[in-house]
Parts: sequence; C-alpha cells; structure tokens
Amino acid sequence: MPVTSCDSDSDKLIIEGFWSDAASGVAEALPDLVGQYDLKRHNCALVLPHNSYSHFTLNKPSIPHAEIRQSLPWVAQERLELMSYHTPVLDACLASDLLEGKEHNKIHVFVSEESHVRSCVAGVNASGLKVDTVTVHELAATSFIGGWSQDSLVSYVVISASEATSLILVLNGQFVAYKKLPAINLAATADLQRDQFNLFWAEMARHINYYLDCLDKKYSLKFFMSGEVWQNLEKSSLFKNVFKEHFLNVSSFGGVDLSSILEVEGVKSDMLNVLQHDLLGGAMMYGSD
Amino acid sequence: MAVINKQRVNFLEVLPVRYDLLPGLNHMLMIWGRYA
Repeated sequence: MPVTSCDSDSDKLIIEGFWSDAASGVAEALPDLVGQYDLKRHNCALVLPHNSYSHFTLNKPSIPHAEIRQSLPWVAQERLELMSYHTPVLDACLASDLLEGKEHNKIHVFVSEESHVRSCVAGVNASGLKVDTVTVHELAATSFIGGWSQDSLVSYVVISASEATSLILVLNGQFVAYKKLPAINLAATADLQRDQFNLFWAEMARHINYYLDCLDKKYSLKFFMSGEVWQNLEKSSLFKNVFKEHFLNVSSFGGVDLSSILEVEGVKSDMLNVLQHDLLGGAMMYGSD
Repeated sequence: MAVINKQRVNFLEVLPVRYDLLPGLNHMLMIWGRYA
C-alpha cells in the first residue's frame, strides 16, 4: 500500500510528523503526495516532533479552564525564564484525571518557538494542504495507542538505534506521561550492552512503576514496542532476561510493525518507523468529529 | 475541529496575530486610521 492514512471520502487528513532537517524527506515528498492523491485543500494536522518543543507539568491554576490557555505565559513564567525561547508559543491540556498523589491536578504545558511553528505550517500549506491543527508527538501517539488501553496502563516504547527512545504511557485513552530515554547502542560489546540494557530498562521500569503507583487504582500493564530495532531486541536472549528482571507484572507484551500499516513513497523507511504512530495517531484525531 | 479525547493541544489556535504577516489587514488599518 503506497500511502497514507487518508480517507478520500473525508476532507480531513493528517500528513506529517517530523519537520526537522533530519526528516526533510517528508517535506520533499509532501507536494508529490498531495498531487498524486488529489489532496489539495484537505485539512490536516501537523504533528511536531519531540525535539522541537518543550514539555513540563504545572499545578492546575484555580481559574476556569477556558482561561488557562490565555493565562499560560504568566502561569508558566518561572519555567519559561529557564528556557531559551525567543518568542515562545504555549498551549496546555489537563493531565489525566486518573492520576493521584503528586501527579494529581496537573496540567501539561507545551512550548515551542513561534517562528518554528509558523514555518512548519507554511511548509505544509505550501504543499496544497490546509493545516488546522498543530499538535505534539505524545498526544498524536496517544490517539493511536488509546484503543489498547482500556483498564490497562499501556507503555508504548519507540526504540531507535540512532534517536532517543520514546516512552509514552496511556490509560483509558488518556495521555498519562512521556519520557525520553537514550538510544540503545547495539554495536557495543556484550558486557557494555548488558550494563547499558540494565540501566535503560531500570530507568524505564522506574518511570512506569512511578505512574502505576500514582493511579487511582491498580491497573494491569501492557507493553508494546515499535521502531527500527524492536524486532532485533525481541529475538535477543539478553533482552528477554533483562526485560523479565524489570517487568515482572506485564500482562501483555508485543511489537507493533507499523511498516505493514503505512508506507509513504520517497521517505526513508527507518525514519517512518519512528514516525508512523504520529501519522496514524494524527489521522485518528479526526475520528471523533 | 480535531479532537484528541479531552486532551487537546493546538498551537495554531494560540499563535498571536502578527500584523506584518497580514499585509492586506495592515493596509485596511492604514486606511481606517486615515479616515477615522
């Protein structure tokens, strides 16, 4: 199947994921895709990659929800002072209402550089599409993963040999948390790999267990992996042993081969492996209209 | 309007209007200023 998550009967579409230099293949391929599939003037959602914005949580201010967005520059002022944005643009959403303890009553704040957002939008619009949403990686991924998360905390891990690993936690369709972990060096020696593996999975397990403890009741844990190296990992005995040590309580485990779901011509497959959940998740954002 | 469950972020809706990016509007404001 050559392309995309497009429904030709609908006027809504997501194309896009990364808009960085590393993924300029997407930018170059976009005008051709729009022409090839007759997508001119279709609405689309633009999903920013995690390296083009910042994310943090804050206590939810005691003001009406409708006012939170307008008040963000003041509410988040202390955090913004530590960041190097020239002209920050901010949006926020409520954290999962299933979280208690230290994570109760929070908002997720996302910050990007205004000029970056504008240039991304202009780039996609120049292809003939019409951007109506600019959202973020973890929320796009959440809409893709959400269906697997009924009464289970889903840990969705995108493992790449070259890029940082993404860990996204979702419960009952709600985004719970995101964590960026270092890339796994598969070329390292066996001893070094074991140490690296242990640190890597220990850090991931610590993060997952923290959020399991913050939930309003006990939920089972489902674990899914995607990305260019998960198949190699799944076959490795070292991985099986280390994984078992850290994740005793997993009720469901599996890999997700997104390349069988989506292909975009002219875009490197290793890049798409990282991005496909964004593409599909972005498309699914339109599902509840 | 796109929806991500209840948790929704759309930078497009919070971008401030920049008049220098809207030359037509700038022109209208100039005319309005002249006759106001």
